[in-house]
Amino acid sequence: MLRSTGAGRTWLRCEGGVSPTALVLGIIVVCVALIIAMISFVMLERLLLGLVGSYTSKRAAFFDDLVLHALDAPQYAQRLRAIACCVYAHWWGGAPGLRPFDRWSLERSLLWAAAELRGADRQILTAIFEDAGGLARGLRQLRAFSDHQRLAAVQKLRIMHSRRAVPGLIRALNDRNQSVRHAALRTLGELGDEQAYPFLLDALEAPARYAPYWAADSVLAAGSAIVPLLVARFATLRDPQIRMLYVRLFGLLRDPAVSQHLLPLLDAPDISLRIAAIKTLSAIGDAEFVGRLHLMLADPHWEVRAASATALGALTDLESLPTLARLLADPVYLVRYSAAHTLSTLGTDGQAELRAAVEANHPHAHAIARQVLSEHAHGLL
Amino acid sequence: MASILIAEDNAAVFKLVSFRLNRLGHETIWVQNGAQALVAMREHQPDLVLLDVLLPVCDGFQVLKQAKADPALKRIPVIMLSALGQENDIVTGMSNGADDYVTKPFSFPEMIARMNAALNRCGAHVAAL
Repeated sequence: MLRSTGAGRTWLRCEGGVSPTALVLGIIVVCVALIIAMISFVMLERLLLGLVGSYTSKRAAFFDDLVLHALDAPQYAQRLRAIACCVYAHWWGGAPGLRPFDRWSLERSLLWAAAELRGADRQILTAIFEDAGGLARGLRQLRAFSDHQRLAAVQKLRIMHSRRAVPGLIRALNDRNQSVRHAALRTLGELGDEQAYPFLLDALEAPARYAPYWAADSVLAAGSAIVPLLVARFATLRDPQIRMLYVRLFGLLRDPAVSQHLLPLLDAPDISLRIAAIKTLSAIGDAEFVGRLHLMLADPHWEVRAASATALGALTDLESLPTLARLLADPVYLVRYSAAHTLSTLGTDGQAELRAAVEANHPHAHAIARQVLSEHAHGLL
Repeated sequence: MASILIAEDNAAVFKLVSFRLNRLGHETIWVQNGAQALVAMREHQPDLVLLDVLLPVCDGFQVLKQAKADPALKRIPVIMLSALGQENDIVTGMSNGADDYVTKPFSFPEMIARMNAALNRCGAHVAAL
């Protein structure tokens, strides 16, 4: 019950409970206390991190020198391997001259150098990392509770380029965190281990679980070694979007071995797939394909005619000049523009065809040839 | 002994490269941006320049253009450093007068062989490389 005093209500006391004023004051006090606690925590955390950073930096300078010498001479590599074994086995260092938490500093130095190197130099560091226990620790870290820890573990394994991490990374493809899954995909692609290829293609075919960009990027990182498996899978695919993704990847990988599998797609009922196949085959530069392109310049679908005209430019096929010149009178503007653009890229002969079209009576051919010649003269093409 | 100017803003790369070059008996000079690189080229007249593409203040291509346009600097061989897979950078660098290209991450034997070849072409002393 509230007590009222004459002129107005004073919100002081509530019988049998806490008054609203006291409640508000209490909330304010608690909030201020929380803010002070948070500020103190942040300051304390920064202080601790600063101290740890300063400590590990000093130790990292020591390990940096060890790593540099290890890259220079095998006896130093042996010494670094022995030290790394102690450091990974004991948190306090485990040997005279080594200190607690040296594992952080050592790992930082190994990662620092491995990130900038490739070939035999990186293999020296990878072997030390694997043998001394860094790999086992990285694989354990892949099962950490924190997303950040698991992501850091994948990135560490990526830099160290350890093929022995492949089974662990394959397991990480089922991680609950998407960033970890994507990082594991990319790492597997870069490692180029055949064991991982089917998983990379599975990821490519599961766009709900893996962003297509990341899946495609990992396949590209694997390079042409993955092409035979890509071709075998492509033959069994039914989903048009996934088929399209595969065709685009073939174009980016530019492996001539895929041409024979793409040529039948030039007759596919799906126009988008046909256009993707034209672009891919022109990127690969298949000789058999040039003959097919000439026929496709008369295709009833304007998109196919435009893509074919552009592809002939990419293939620098001079025999197509008369056919391209005829396309300057096509009823569809984009086909005319593609043909004119291709002619402008085919040297003096192509440009002569354009100049002849400027003189022609056909209004479409005259206008487009004039436009493209003007663009070419102004350096726009 | 050759004097090599390293224009690279990443201290890790400099540390790795300079350690190896110093062990081979060469002198290294480090600058961290494009403007400093041009000043150091004029001051020290190094035997070779390792020039990163992505540098603060003025990028590696601008440094290369200015160096190749300057009669006092154009004889100095320049090897460009850039991230792996940047083919456009390679084309731009070579067409602007770079003597060679090294991609990062790099391998020491390859880098040293390229430096050796660039120094040989300009007739500098390369015995230890």
